[in-house]
Amino acid sequence: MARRKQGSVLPIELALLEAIVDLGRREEPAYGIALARELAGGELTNLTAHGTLYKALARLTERGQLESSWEPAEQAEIERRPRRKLYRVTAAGAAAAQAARQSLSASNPGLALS
Amino acid sequence: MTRRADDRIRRWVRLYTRGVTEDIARDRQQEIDSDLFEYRAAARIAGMSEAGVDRAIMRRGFVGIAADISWRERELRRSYAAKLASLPPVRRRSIGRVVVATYVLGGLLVGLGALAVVRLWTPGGANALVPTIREGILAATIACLVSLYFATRPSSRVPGMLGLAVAAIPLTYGVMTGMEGISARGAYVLYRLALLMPSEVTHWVTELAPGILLAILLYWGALWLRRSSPDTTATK
Repeated sequence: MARRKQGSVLPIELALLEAIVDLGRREEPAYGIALARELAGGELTNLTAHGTLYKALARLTERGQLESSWEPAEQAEIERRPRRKLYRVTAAGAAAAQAARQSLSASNPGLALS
Repeated sequence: MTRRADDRIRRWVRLYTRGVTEDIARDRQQEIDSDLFEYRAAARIAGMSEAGVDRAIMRRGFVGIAADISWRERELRRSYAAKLASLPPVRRRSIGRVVVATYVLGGLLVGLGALAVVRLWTPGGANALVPTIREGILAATIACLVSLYFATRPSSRVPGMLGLAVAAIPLTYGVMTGMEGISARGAYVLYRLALLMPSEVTHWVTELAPGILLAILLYWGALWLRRSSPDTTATK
């Protein structure tokens, strides 16, 4: 399998980077299931598979395009649920997303207009 | 409330994170725990049926199996590479040589088997004297190919090498026995070789010895690698 160019992102990775930014704009936390729902347009059906979602998040984190941290245990205890792993887009991630968008709109000018 | 789907997914996560560096495995397990809990909570609010939630959870788990396995492979490789890097350079080079030698021997065996299969299955190429040889060679070649695949993965390298050692004997025996149907030049070389030795050892030397020699080499390599390589399972 051919290696990807450094800094380039796959479509699912671009979608995740954009979903995290969108959630951040709405001041909502970006964590696994929230991201899966964001990718599915807020629906609960046809969510991205566990393996695909967490593998992509791990890859982005490993490449420094995302940062992750576990929320404080107290917060989860108050809400009586397991802790969430929260994601943030780094400067490198934002740049990679920007480059991917530009590359997409260059290869398909119609996308840039939509 | 049924939680069978959640339990199945958790069991699967525990299975594919086994041997992965402990904190990475724990991270993945906790992340999936959170995912399952939050999904069920959101589905309850949305009024989804329990059966529907179970189906959706199982579907997400099932569709992601390939990605889970590929993630596991990558984590195991990374962990192995980190441990390998911590070994003294001399040991590292020796391990590298044994691994390369395994790839070369495994590749040669598979290549030899594939060539024999093609020759014996080509119309007019099959040797009527040994009708069962080609099926045997095919089976041994497939066994070699599967073993070679396992030998390329750090976590299953030793069993892969042992598999190659076992499959090498029937494969080379089949090829040597069926040489007349595989290659006229090869059969001639074997004939000339047979002339150089007493007739009572010809069968042993030309048909069995190559496979046994390869098997001993691969077996020795596997044992040495088992003693000298870093453990492929992570503990930290």
